[in-house]
Amino acid sequence: MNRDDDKKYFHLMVERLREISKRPIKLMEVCGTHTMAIGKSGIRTVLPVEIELVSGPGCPVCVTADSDIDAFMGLARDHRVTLVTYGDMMRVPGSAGSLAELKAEGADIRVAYSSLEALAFARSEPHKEIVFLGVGFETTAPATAHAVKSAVAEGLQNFSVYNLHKTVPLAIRALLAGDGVQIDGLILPGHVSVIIGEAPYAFIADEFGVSGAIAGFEPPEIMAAIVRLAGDINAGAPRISNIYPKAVKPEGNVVAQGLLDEVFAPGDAEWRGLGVIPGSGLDFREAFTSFDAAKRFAVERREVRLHRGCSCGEILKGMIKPSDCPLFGSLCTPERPIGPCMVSSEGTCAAYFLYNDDANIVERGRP
Amino acid sequence: MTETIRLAHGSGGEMTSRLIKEIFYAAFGGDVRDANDSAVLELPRGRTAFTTDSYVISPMFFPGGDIGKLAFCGTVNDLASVGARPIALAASFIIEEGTTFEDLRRIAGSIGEVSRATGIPVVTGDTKVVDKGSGDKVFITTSGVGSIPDDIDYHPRNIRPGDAIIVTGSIGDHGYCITALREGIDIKSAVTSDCAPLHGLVEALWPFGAHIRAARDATRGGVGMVLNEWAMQSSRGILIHEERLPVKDEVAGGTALLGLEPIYLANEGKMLIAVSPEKAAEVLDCIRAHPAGADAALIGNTGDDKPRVVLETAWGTQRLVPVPRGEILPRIC
Repeated sequence: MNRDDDKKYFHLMVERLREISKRPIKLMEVCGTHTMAIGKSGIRTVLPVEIELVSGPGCPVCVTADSDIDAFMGLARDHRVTLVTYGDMMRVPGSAGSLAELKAEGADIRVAYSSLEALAFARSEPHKEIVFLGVGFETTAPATAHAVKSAVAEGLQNFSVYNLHKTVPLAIRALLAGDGVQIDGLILPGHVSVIIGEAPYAFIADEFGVSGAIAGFEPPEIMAAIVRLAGDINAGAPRISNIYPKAVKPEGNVVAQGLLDEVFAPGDAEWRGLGVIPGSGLDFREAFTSFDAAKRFAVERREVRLHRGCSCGEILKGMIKPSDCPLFGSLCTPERPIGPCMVSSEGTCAAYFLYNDDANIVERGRP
Repeated sequence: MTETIRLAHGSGGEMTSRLIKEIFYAAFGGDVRDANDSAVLELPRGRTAFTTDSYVISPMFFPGGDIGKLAFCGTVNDLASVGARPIALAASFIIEEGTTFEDLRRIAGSIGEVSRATGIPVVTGDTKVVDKGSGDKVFITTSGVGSIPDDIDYHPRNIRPGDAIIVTGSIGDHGYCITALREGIDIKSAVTSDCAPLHGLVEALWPFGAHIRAARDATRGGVGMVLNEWAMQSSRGILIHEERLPVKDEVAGGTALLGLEPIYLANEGKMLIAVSPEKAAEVLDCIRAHPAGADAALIGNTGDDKPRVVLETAWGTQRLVPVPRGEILPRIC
């Protein structure tokens, strides 16, 4: 399709949605990339008033627990290792400052675009202990698995991973099973689904009676997902649809799944706002535990009390809007973030802050 | 052996004199025997514009220009933004020990070249040398004075509801060119920095008098930043249309790849102009007729009294254009 066809299709979807929207519907986009795409595309300004979009727990930075950030930073402070992280994590505040602040104090902290860059540091600087911060869902976890396997093959002894990888479906389950959560349909993450396929979402419709649509990230794709969900919800026929078939195969990426299964086993993981969700983490299997930085350096995680008033937890569950948080926009801004939802480029609060999603958009053509 | 700058070149003695004579007088013209501690200018009656700016761009040489041309054009454009005709510039150099004479000669040479082409002289300057590691090759500060015609008053406070917003050409070229260079993206295809003096283009608009409300060169923070400043300073909302923004195909594609937005990328040869609705079409034609404004476009209008910038997207949706934060590219000019 060319751009003009895309536009026609988009407007067709907008029209269709107006026709079928009869009662209030609350949809959650699970994935942070969707959150940002929705903010940036201005989709909310053409939605019927009945449709409400809320953001879910699918931003890896946002769901990282304070205690994990503290523990990771402790590695640089106490063990003088070189920390390697994705850029988004640099500014997330733990209870004692952020990685960016630690770097300014002189710690060796580097930003990488992939786990293989971290591996390259280990290779070229054998006298240094390199610890990679493994953050992300099924999308980035295979890359970490690949790096660890490469380290085994090369016999690299100075490489390890502080492993915070998490899996999405169990978080969705915890969310839907939670008290006070009212979601009619889910826009499911396109990138994660490329890896895991359709099957892991079946329980959403079967057990919770909630519809889900796997969606791409272009405005027409997001709009198509919303139309599909609204139709399913109206019909009272919950199901999981894949409307991103050009990228997502029903069975997913079997090779990546095999890699994950070879290196990791399900373990417990702490999610900010959702607490510990059993089985939602990816622990190293026996054969790879020597690459677990938490074990190698005997890291102790200490419970951290959240900043008073920080509502990231409720926001991640779609229970309140960012603007309902007492810190939003006053004490907590992208320059001086308090909660991770304001830090990440995919964070719900950052998207609201930047694109002012609540309101404020002008009458057509009359600013 | 390659001749390089040493600390002694900044000592104020013989080597300093030689440096000034062989590099700067050679490039800018003028007679060393006339040298004095200040240049003495005769300014026309009326208001004088006075501005200064520092340049630290990395890399110093890039497709479409270098730090010298940039330092000259940047200050000329700051004068042009208030409607002034530039009269003279000053240029000060902070040079890191170890910089080659060849690089310095090239930089001074491009200042001389654009000075001769525009007829705007560099009348005074200074050089300092810092030890290796205390700077990064060459930093330049330029200052300039210009005279403003009596009936010209370009300031965002003059912006009124319904005014048209014009950009004088494709946006984001400079920022994209430098970023692509740093990221190692192959851009031999087309995109060069748009670094150019714009005072001639602005002078061509003088006859429109007060119909021209405001002008500003969209450097760091790009068009998005200038429009947000205008919205705040004029207490007006501004609506712009994504599809009317002139963006080169390579810039559109490359920025998408890099996760950047052309609207926030620095320009070094583009002006934003706010103009009355009555004269908008005529002004646009006038700008397009000028060699520096061939790709000019009317991108939007001012409106209600809620200061913010809204973009109507290609999808027909609307979103805010927030003030750029955080990740602005360092050392872009």
